[in-house]
Amino acid sequence: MSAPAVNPPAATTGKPPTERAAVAPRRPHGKRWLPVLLQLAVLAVLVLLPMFFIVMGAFTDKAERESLFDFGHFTLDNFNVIGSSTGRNALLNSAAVGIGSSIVALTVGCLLAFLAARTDIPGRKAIYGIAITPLFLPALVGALAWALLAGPATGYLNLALNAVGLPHLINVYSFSGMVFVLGLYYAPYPFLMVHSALSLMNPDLEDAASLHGAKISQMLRKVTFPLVMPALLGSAILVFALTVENFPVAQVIGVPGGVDTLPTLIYRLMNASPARSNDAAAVAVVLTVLLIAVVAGQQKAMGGKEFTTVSGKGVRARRIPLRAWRLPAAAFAWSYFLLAVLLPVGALIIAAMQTSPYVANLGQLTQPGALSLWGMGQTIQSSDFHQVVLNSVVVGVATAAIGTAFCFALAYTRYRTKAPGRKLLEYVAMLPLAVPAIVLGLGLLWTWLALPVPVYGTLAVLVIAFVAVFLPQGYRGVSASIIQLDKDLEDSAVMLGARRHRAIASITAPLLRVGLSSTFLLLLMLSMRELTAALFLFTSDTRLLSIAIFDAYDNGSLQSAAELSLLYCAVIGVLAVLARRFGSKEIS
Amino acid sequence: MKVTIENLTLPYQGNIVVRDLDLEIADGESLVLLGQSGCGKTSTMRCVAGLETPSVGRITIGDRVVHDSASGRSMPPHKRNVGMVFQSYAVWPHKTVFENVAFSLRMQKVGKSELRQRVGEALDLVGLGELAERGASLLSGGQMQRVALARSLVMRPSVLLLDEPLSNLDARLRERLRMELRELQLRLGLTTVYVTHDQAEAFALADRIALMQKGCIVQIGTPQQIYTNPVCASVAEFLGIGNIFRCTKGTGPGSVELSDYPAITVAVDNTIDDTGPSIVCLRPEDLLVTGATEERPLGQCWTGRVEVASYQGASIRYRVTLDNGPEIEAVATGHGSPVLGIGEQAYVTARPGAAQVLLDDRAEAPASVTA
Repeated sequence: MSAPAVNPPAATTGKPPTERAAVAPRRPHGKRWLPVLLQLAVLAVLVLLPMFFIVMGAFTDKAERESLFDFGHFTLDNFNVIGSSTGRNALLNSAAVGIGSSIVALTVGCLLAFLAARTDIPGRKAIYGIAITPLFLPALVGALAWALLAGPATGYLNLALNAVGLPHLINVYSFSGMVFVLGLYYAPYPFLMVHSALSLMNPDLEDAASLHGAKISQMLRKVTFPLVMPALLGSAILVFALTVENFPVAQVIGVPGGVDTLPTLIYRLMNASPARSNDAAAVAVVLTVLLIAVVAGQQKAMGGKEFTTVSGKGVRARRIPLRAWRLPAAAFAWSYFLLAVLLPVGALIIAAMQTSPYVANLGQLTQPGALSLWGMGQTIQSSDFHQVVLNSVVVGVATAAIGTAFCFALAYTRYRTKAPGRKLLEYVAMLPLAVPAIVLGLGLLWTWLALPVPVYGTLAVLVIAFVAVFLPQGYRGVSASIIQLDKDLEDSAVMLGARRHRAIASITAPLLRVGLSSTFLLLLMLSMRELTAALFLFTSDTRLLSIAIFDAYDNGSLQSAAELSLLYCAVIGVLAVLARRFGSKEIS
Repeated sequence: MKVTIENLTLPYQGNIVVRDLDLEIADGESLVLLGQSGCGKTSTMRCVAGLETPSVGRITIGDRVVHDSASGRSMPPHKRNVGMVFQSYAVWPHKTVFENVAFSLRMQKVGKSELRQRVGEALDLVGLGELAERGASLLSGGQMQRVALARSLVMRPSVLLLDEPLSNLDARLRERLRMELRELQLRLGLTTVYVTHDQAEAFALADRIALMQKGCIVQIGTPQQIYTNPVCASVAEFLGIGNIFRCTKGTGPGSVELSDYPAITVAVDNTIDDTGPSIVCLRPEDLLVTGATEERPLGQCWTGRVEVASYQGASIRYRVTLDNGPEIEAVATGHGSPVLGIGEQAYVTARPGAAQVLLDDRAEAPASVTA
């Protein structure tokens, strides 16, 4: 279909060629379609096929398939699992946890954003650091640390209360514990969005309100807050979506306290023996529909509003004097840091160094020999650990490289060509936003078990899963920078005699290096942190750091989970520092 | 080289941007496509460049057919040897001035010594010889514009396309570069197509101007022809002729009566067919204002009162309300005559042959405002 027609002799010689021969070869129509079809095919395997298997699993009755499309008969019985009390509870818990933790995250995040961007709080610059540091603690690690801190029996905080003669008051293994931990670790998302909206806002808008007679409180109420509303609303829905589909916190904090959510229910159904995969698929469909509804709501709420509020470019924003509230505000910010970072990391360090597995009171820890680095040293030296780190790095780098390249191709086709179907491409690429990682992981498991390609059981399947899960983030990153780049820059190279691909390679790609490298680092960070998508796809040879931590926790070895968590944070921290240094150099 | 465009049609997102357009540009000619934004002038140019693919039509450069919709053949832009200076200059910020200019020669795999020489010549031509090794992101707007020009000239293009190249510069620089561009074009004998919405720029640069509206050429001719004889009301309006009034045929031959002010008649030389509404237009610079005490020049004269007077050095610009008539823009030569005060009586004299009756084609475009 796309075979080129007969090529007439090229007319590049100086001699004036005859008219017929000079006409360029006919452009085959299929050629316009080819890149789109190719990319669509990749997207189909990454996103659509897994979704297909989930939906088929949810509506058919056969668990053990003999061939690729042997699904058995159509049935609605699988959805009975949602009707059962377990299912109903999970659904309600999911929604309640999502709402509760969104409120916590939003309150904390927005307050911090306002303090950091717009007030004279002491140590204002440090507040920014405080608010984003929790991003480097993956939710899994945060959950583990809080289990260590506030477990009802031997949590360090309860032991501390004990030491001053109070009973064990705190139990993190509960609904409110879950909301607390999720709220703590998702607060940086609204912080970042609202902070940028607040600091990019054109100060003239506020000054105009003051000049027309508004008091500071009125100015904030009538001008500032309405202008950051879209960012606030957008982050609210984002946090809701992220917390509803969150698996690690739900599993580590919720499940021991008897709080089941949809993701943990899917996990349990899949780990039952025999696996109840059709039921799991049905739950997955319900969870996805819930998320799609929310994301659709976000799109509608954000539609077209995103950029209208932000008019200035890094202009010095107005600062509001806090007066008597300066110290309480600072105390609030630092207590967030204490709860989200200092206490958890401290707990991990103590747990990793503890020589006896159980600590009945804090005094025990002050005994000589109660704490040692020996276990940590052993872990660092073990070949198992090396393998796991190597796997994580290989998967992370491969995901980042392949993901960035693929997202560049997608964004280029979408924004720089007139190929038919380019909008469909974008739509499918953004789809994983509404598909929970646990569902996509499950779908990918069935896809790669069914496809006659020996990928399952290798690191490649993990790379595929991560590329699929992080497509929206990667696509957004690349397309944002492609949109900003003047199209003429590439066209002028073509006018000067470069072939299109040559122009892309020598002009467009080098000019996008900031955008591309930051997308690369974003994808690297995200895949280093990811647990959920790999949950059903790893094997004993392809364990990642996150999986190893989860395994250690699952086997009850909190100490080794704590050791690994610390090392995990160190690896991510190193990457983050590299990213920052690399990024800032590029920008200057 | 000669450029021929035959019944070119370009659809874009369901609209027809260029409609059945024919245009011939002679070898060495400077043709300006003039029109408001969205009239299809840039699209026409981009079709010649090969950056847009027309649905109908044929484009020939020299004796090479570069596009022919009938046979579905289209030469890709990198083979057309067409130079283009973009409105944004599109100077690559990650390359030096030298590397920007050398790009096309590197694509042609020109030898090292010839490359150095030709780039040097092109940079000298635009007066940037000193800046060859400077990073392109450090240049000013005017310098970038020169780099873009040198980059297109160095490839010795069959035709040079310029897309509003001066619109991002400040007024004084724009004027200077306009002169330089015209001089270069004449010296090199380059065939150029220049797109702009600025009539002063068009007049200064063109051998011929093609005036475009809604994807079609409405008038084509030398700058003088366009200036003195606009073909219809919308063209007159676009050219900034301040005084445009709807009119009906007057009582006597050679004169018309304003539709909204029957008391005013205007003497005209030309006539148009009776079909459709018509307007009469008068350039402010053809209407001379004199005070009651001054000597009046020859020509048809109306009386009125001064609304606004604005002193402009060489001349004084007035807005005068004619007795029983409309407000009208007119001028007085600066030297000697006193500035008339607001409300003072004034005489407005039309230079003989100043008024023109034109077809009023503006009915379809309700956005236009009568002066």
